Amino acid sequence: MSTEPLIRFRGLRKAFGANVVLEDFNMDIADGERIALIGPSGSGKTTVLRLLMGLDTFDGGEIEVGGVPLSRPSEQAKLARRQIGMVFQHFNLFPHMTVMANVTEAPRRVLGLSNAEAQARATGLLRMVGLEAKLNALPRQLSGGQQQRVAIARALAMRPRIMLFDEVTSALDPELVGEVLRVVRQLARESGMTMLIVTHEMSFARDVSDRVVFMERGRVAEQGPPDMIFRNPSNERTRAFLQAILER
Amino acid sequence: MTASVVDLLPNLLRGATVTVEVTVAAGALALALSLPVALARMSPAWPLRVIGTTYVEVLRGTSALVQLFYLFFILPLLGIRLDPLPTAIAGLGLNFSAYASEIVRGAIAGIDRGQWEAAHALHLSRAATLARIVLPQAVAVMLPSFASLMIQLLKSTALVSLITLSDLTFSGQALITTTGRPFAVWGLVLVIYYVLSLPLAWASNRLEARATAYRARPAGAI
Ligand SMILES: Nc1ncnc2c1ncn2[C@@H]1O[C@H](COP(=O)(O)OP(=O)(O)OP(=O)(O)O)[C@@H](O)[C@H]1O
Ligand SMILES: [Mg+2]
Repeated sequence: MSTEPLIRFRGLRKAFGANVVLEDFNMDIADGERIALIGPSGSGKTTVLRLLMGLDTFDGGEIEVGGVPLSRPSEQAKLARRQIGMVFQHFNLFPHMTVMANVTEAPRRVLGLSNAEAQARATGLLRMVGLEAKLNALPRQLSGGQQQRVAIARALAMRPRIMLFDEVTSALDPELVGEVLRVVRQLARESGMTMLIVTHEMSFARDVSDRVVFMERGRVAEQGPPDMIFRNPSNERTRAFLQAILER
Repeated sequence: MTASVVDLLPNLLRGATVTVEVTVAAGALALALSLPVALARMSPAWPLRVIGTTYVEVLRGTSALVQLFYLFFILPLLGIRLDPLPTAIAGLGLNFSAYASEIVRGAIAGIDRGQWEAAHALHLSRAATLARIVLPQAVAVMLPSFASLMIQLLKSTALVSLITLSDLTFSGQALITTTGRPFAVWGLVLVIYYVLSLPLAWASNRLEARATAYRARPAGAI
């Protein structure tokens, strides 16, 4: 790669007590790249996203975003992180706020948008995810799929350059998975954002990403273009994992 | 002695007014202190945690009556003299702030960690997360417990009669000395305390019902 990567994980280490979850984890992500992160349960996929987002601290190594190291808290690190948005497995909408308030809260408080600006932005995004009719609904009045689409709009309202998706459909009833994946696919195609997508939906991983990264035991075990990983994995573990998933 | 129930009432109602004053003022003081104390106990800074924890442990671990005596009889020896009413309000307010802060702390701790994480992922500050996301949800959980704490406070105000404040209990005792009718007087005192607690009990039940309806919302695990 000729240009500097947008995100760089170098020798990242994370342990929970005696449980070493990431050990010498390395990965470079180019600006605009869409990565599907796959691997067995407990391999550390969520942990990678959480460390990048700053939801947990790491024990060693470094994460750089736009060349800024995140290991030590600094104003620069804070601004670098501000380019990142995240969508969670369980949506985590604010239950006491309407859909509109969920989406406008952070742009108003953090970016200093006026109420009108934030609402205009939110309306556009909610239309994009197909929920313009639900502006005044409370989260509990929505289906899981609708809630997750609100969560996506809420993250996008901060205009992130980097979006993290952690198994955003695994808490959904099967019939609701499609509507959420459609939104993520559209973002991958049209937004130009850098995306890091953890998923167990293999056909989705295949058509949403430029590169598939297979993790095992806290390391990158194999990576490459989707066609290569899914058609002809070189790593025995990858093969076994894909086999197991396809037979489910 | 021929005093009828009607003759007893004015004295008792004057006492009841003092009881209500102490309950309201001490309750307000306890609620006002509860949030800062709870936040100190949950602070990332350990000195604040130590101060908060010591405050709560000392006030909960020693008797409210002794605390009142302390304020009323010991402080004057140090040159600080307070009237019975402010002493009663300060003593019970401080004592109940320890319990109130535990209610606040429990309610905040009970809010799904995913709420903090979602707010963090949106780059909201800790203060904004607390004020806009966590506290509005926690308050719904706290209110019923606050209402029952206020009932306890109302009943505990009887203690202030022991530092010579003419509250409902004190008025009852005084009336017995003058009328010699303990049956009627204590009976009336009981009824008045009960009637005073009714609005709080009603609020507690209403708030409890609302809080549980709110918690029955789907989704948002982990
Ligand atoms: N807060 C925590 N405390 C202790 N251990 C944790 C914590 N979070 C994760 N772990 C452990 O870290 C390991 C990796 O977890 P992680 O959630 O990153 O895996 P994953 O690849 O996302 O798995 P899954 O596909 O099941 O979501 C697991 O062994 C898990 O038990
Ligand atoms: Mg995970």
